[in-house]
Amino acid sequence: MSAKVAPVPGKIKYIPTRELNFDPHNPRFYRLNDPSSLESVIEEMLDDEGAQDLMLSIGQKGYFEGEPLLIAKDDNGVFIVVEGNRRLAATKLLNRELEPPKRRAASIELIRNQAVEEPPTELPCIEYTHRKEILRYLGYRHITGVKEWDSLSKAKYLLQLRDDFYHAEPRDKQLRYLANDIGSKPAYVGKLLTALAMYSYAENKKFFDLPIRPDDIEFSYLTTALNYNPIINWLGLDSGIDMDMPKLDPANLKSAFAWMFAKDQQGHTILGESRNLSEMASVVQSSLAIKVLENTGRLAEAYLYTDGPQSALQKVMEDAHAKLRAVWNMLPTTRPLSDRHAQMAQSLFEDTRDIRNYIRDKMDED
Amino acid sequence: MLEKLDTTPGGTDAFFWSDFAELKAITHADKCFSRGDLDQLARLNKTKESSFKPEERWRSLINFCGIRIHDFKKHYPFRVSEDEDTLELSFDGSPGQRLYLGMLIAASMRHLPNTRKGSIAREFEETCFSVFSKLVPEGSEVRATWASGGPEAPYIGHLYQKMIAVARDVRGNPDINPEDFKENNTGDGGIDLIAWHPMADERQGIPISFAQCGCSREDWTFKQAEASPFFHSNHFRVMHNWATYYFMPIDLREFDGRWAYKSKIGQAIIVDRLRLLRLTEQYSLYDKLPAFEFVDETMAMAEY
Repeated sequence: MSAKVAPVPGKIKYIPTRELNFDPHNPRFYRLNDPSSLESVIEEMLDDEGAQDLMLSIGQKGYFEGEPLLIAKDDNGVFIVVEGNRRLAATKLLNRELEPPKRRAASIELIRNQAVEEPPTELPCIEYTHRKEILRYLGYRHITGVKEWDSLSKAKYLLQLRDDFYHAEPRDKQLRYLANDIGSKPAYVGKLLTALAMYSYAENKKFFDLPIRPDDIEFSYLTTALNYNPIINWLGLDSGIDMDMPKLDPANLKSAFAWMFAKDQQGHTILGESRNLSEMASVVQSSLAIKVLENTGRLAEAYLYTDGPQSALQKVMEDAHAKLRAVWNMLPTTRPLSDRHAQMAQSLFEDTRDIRNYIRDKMDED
Repeated sequence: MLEKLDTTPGGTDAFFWSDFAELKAITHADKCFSRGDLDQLARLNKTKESSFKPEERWRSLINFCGIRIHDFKKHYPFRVSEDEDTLELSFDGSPGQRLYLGMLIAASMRHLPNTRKGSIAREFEETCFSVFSKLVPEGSEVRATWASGGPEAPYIGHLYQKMIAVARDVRGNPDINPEDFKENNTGDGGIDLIAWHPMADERQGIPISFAQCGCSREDWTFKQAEASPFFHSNHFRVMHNWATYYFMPIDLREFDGRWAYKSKIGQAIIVDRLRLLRLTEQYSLYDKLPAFEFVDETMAMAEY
């Protein structure tokens, strides 16, 4: 295992905000086309990171000095804020060093006008020699901590951490060390990295020339898909934590991306919503169902060609039976019984009779 | 005007979550709602029963808004940003977009103060009246059952009296007694709109339609049947049962355009947000719609 590089914090010093710059390698900026563009960063901070709540807090209570920014100089000797980019954005917007995009101008002006504290023009910072020294300590805060990143940012961060600190370790140790670093479990780390490997593979293949833009991809759908063993097997993965993917089935990954993210002219994806991943997991177990899905583009129809509906019906009937038993057990101790109860009982009886008759009829027909 | 806007919808239905995002957008100072705003709400709700996964919810609702852009076309008063991280109000003042916003707000009763629910529901019912009038055979007589509704709403008094009057109008044989109804029941008996075609004579056996209007997100599953023969055939008998309609401002659709909760749709013909808007357009009914002043009130909100 590579030795941990314990950061040696310097003393807190106050640095003018105009000398502080956003970290273009911050994992949360991964989605941006140009992370060095201030406009993109501010838009991301306001649209995706909710920097407004920090602006409100700093405007009302002032900047909390117990939370210094963690900074390092880049190769050009410029200060980069490795930890605290949201706070930096909030402060620069409050003190008007930066202006918001037009669509956010109204609320930002309201927040500025309502501030009771003078917006700071310098912030408490602790300087480290190298960005890398701070990197591994971000995980607690943004993966299991108070300001969670989105799952793609988390995965990107874990990849940075792995490459910087644990690249020489075997995979299982990598996962364990990364999990320790962020206060989580190896399986969770592995799932994020496997989903990122799938994402990166597809990205390198230009999303298989499917009509998919990077913005169409909801990374959490990939991590959720890795909760389903049938999908894992169908993709050629050994498990949900197979981030090297030696036996990946590229054709099936392409199909998965097509079903999950490619939109037709009406804006529909075949998957629809993440809750339909369970149906997709059933479909990929049946070559007939896959064929139906490819021909019709309708997941619900393809699902009928799996044994999912039979299992689902069985489960719902068992649940209904359990509830009826609960009703029966409550009857001796419940008084008074009302007309409403009698009506409900009649209705239950009729529904149940209809179900029995329907099943009998269909079985006779078949 | 609207309240409890930090209370997110229960469940995972995209059509409810998209409504919620649209409401947040029209009431926000910036007239938009972003992925980060939803993330913030997820943090607020993290320890509550109403917790949700913000990334999956966002993708679901923003994709559904994309479907609405396609289906409602120029009447959809929102746009989705290029990076799909923001829903923006793009209201152009057209009557179609105004109707859309009116129905969106009417479908959001949980966010309305009690003092406003009745008047907003009434404006929705008046909208339904205009559309309903076009769905029944040409030459039909169309009536509403709500109180203080003028000549189009002649049924007044105790529910018994109303039912007798309705039975007479649709040429049915009433089979009810005053004591069948509670003493102070002046309600509508679950029927908001009534239409019949006189068929150029006075004999029984005429085309009849009943409709119920409802804004509630939860109650429609049973309210849809309130105007049906199942509920009223014991009150008066007619030679041919009537068609039953249920009007709702909800956009009751799945991602692929099918009915959401189709298994819960019973005897009623459901007229939901998309049908209402398309039918209003088809029959050029905009000048018959109420003013929807509450739409302006809502857009004047500037939350942040």
